[in-house]
Amino acid sequence: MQNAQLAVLATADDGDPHLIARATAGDRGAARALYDRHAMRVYRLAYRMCGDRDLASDLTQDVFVRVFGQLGQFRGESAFTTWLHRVAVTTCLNTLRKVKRFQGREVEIDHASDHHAGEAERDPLLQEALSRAMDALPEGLRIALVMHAIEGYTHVEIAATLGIAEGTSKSRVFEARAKLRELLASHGKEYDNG
Amino acid sequence: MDDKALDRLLERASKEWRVPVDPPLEEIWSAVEAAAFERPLRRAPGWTIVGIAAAAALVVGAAAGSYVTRRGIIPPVLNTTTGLPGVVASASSANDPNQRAMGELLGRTAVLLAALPGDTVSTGLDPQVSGEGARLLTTTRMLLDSPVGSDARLRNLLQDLELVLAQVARLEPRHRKYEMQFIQTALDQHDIVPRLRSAAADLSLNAF
Repeated sequence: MQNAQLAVLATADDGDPHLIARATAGDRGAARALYDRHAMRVYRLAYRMCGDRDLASDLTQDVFVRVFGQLGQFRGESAFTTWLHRVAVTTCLNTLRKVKRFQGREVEIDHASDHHAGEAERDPLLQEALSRAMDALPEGLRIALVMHAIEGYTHVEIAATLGIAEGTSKSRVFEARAKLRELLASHGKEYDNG
Repeated sequence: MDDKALDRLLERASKEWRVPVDPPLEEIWSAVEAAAFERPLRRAPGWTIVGIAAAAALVVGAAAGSYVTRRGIIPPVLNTTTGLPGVVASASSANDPNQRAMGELLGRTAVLLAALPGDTVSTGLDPQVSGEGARLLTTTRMLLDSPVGSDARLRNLLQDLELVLAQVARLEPRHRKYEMQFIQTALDQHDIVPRLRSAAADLSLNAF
């Protein structure tokens, strides 16, 4: 990983090393503080990827259980945020693959149930069409687009999290946008006016 | 759709698309704390429950053996000494591997399903649960290909059990809520537990 990437991410980790050291020593308060600092961002990413409240909760739980379980092995070679988000992305993608297999074989989940209070009043065309188009993107492109265009991660952060070059992150987002445009072509008029 | 329209769409999406509403962070923390810092909740039953489960398995097994014999699913085995069916054959039928397997399967599956955690928790799961699910799945598939599977009612039940046991066998110690929800959905959709109980009740009536 580039030093520049580490430097940028490290700024988001001010205070984490101290908390990590305490949490590794068994200080549950420090673990809670780490959780409080990072849980919302992990949850948001999980929710953007799956669109399901319960699944996002499970994913967030899985991520932190894994991270706390392996905290003693964290060497600090990368920023804690980078490591955490790498675990988050891996967990999300693995679980979503598993969910798709379950859905395909046995259970047809009512997609309407994925939307929760507060989303119903929003543009249903945006919710449904964009969800469908996003889910149709190859996962490597989808995660890059969601992280960059929706969640506001920088290419440096994405590169560090996914373990790819910054240029690769940019090209993935570019490609994802092109595919998204194709997939949303039939809804173009509505959004052109939006 | 041009680039500017896509930019507008994505900007709107960042504010409106899949925006988490009131994320249950406190609830998640409780689960994380339990799983990461406390001794995992083992669902190993106490000795009383083990005893009850073993007794139930024996009773259901005996009843199942009697049931499949009376319904002619498995023809009585002739006594090798006398060559006559009847009482002697009935006694020897208790040794039929298919009957024993059927009885054990019903009893052990009932115990396993009762031991499954509810779909609202996502804590540590005893690895023995998925191991037992895998063993019962193998037995179920063998029985589907055995003479027992020729009985339509039992066959339907076995096929539905196969679906559920396949999911139980895949459960990991840190299973997710949705996995348990899928199992619960399959149980509900196919009325598996009531049918299992009903079959066990029928077996008891036929046995005694």
